Amino acid sequence: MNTPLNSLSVAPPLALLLSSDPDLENKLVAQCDSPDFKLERVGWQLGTVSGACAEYDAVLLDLRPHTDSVPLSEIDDLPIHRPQARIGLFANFEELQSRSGLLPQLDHYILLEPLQTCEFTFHLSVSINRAQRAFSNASEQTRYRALLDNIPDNIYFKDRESRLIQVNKAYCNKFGKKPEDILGKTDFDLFSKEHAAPAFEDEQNIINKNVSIIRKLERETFENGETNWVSTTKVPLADIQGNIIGTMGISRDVSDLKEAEGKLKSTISLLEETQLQLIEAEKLKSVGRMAAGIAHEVKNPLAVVTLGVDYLRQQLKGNDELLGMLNDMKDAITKANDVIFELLDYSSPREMQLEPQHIHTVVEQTLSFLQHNFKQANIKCLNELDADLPQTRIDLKKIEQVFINLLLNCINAMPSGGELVIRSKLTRMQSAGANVSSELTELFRIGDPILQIEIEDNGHGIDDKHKDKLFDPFYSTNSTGAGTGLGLSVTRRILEIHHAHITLENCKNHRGCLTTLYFHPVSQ
Amino acid sequence: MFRKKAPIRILIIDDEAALTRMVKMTMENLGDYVVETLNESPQAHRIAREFKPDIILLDVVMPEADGGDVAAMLRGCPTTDRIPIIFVSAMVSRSESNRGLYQSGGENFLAKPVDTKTLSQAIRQVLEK
Repeated sequence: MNTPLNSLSVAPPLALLLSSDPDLENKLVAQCDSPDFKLERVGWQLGTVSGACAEYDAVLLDLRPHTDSVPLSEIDDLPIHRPQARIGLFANFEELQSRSGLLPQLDHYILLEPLQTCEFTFHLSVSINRAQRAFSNASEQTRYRALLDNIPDNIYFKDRESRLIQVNKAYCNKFGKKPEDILGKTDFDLFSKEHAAPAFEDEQNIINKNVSIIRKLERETFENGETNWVSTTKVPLADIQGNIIGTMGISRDVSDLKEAEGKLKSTISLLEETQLQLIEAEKLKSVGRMAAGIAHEVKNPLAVVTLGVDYLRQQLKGNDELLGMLNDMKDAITKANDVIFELLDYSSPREMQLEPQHIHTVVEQTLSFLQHNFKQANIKCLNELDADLPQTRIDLKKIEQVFINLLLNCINAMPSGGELVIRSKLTRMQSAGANVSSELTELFRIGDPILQIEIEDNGHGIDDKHKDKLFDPFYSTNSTGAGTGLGLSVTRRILEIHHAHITLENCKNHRGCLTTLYFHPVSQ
Repeated sequence: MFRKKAPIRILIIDDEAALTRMVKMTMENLGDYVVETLNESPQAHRIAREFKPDIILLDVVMPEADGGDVAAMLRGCPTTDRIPIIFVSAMVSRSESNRGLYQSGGENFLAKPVDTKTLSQAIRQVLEK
């Protein structure tokens, strides 16, 4: 009976019979004469057959005692061409028992005497099949080992207590250790606790719930403080019966990817920010065009009214009542003119001209510019500016505008006069605590130098209900129409484009408002 | 015999008729000025030659010939090229507007709206130069 062989053999299996017994040869060759199976024979002469053996799927060795011409001691010298099966032919079971010492050198044996002649090809097929399977298993082992050791990813097997039971070369290389120094250890021995604890928890979860973790992004921290990012896949490790005996995992270093992702993210956010700025700039451009148009159209009538009021004043000398009315009209014109200026400031299309400047000179310039206003409002101004501070890169005119706006606000907050202190100092960004605004932590890193300007007044301070709206455009606490509500909004916008920051708060020790400006000093 | 000082001759060129009228009224009311007004800027050169002003107040943004064109026209002719010009503009910044008469690019500027006092001070300042 010819049994179909496994799929590994494509051509009909071919066996070689080494025997000096012509009877056996004839008998077996006759049996194997089929399209599915071929048996060839060679008289037992070692030197003559060794080279030819390679072509055969099986080599049958007639090992019966009466075949004296077969030198048993030379079986070992017979070249083996895997997956070639070496099959010993014994007369019967007793003979096999008496010569069992030969078995380790054989893949299989066939007992000739109880053998029905028709069973021979079946036994031969089984033998060849077994030999091929054994070879295949060995090859699989080799490939498996090669895979483990040549893949640059870290591969590991762990027991139920998360102790490493097998690791690949990449895993060893990662720690610069030999397998024997790693096996039996847990993540707690190899990584920092920060990484080991959640990893252990993950593995226990995998074991207890029979779940997998696929491509989890993890930050590995080593005991020396180094870190990297890995993409980890962990699955349950089961024995042949399906009992979960641990975990196996593979982790790939994705630090480069992670870094690229970070860069990409910041590029995207920069792009988004730029886009917003462009939209904002475009909006402001149209507001700017509109404001310029309004300025032109409104200022001409204002000029007419101004001169008209002047003319009437000339005509009405001596009539105090009417002169008072004309003065009010003149004030109203000034206010209307201020509104136009604020609108122009808010939408000013002028580009920034950043140059290193000593900020105290700008402040002093503004103070002298507003000297008259301070005097009129009965406000004492104390200058505590430090002239030795480093420079900062600013647009002179824009920052001048900032101080005009802030100081005018102070004047408005002190209708019955008061005291105003303006001081400067060089500090460092301390920490990102709860009382530090997120805008500030975005602009300054811990330890960065900050050029700080403080303006402290003793006016009415900030009402809690206004606190969140102070910087909103067109929001004003001056119900009398003393301002357009654009002042602080313009101020903040100007500071933003200088990468500077402003905070407003009530003074801690007395009534009044403390305005703080934060600039980046030019590095010296 | 004591001879009365001749009044200062001002030519104001601005497309806003109410404004030029008002300048004429207020300045002439002060007594020391004679004011000629012009609302169509392309006529500036002809009027300047005829009126022979001591000084010209010139608007910047005008529909036909703007302030720059008018100034170039006047300076291109030997009969008008020595007449000082003060540009009167609505398009100035707050700090510029607070300064009264100011220079920019070698030219004299005044910000609108301008009052009589600032205007007469500026005119005298320019003429004294």
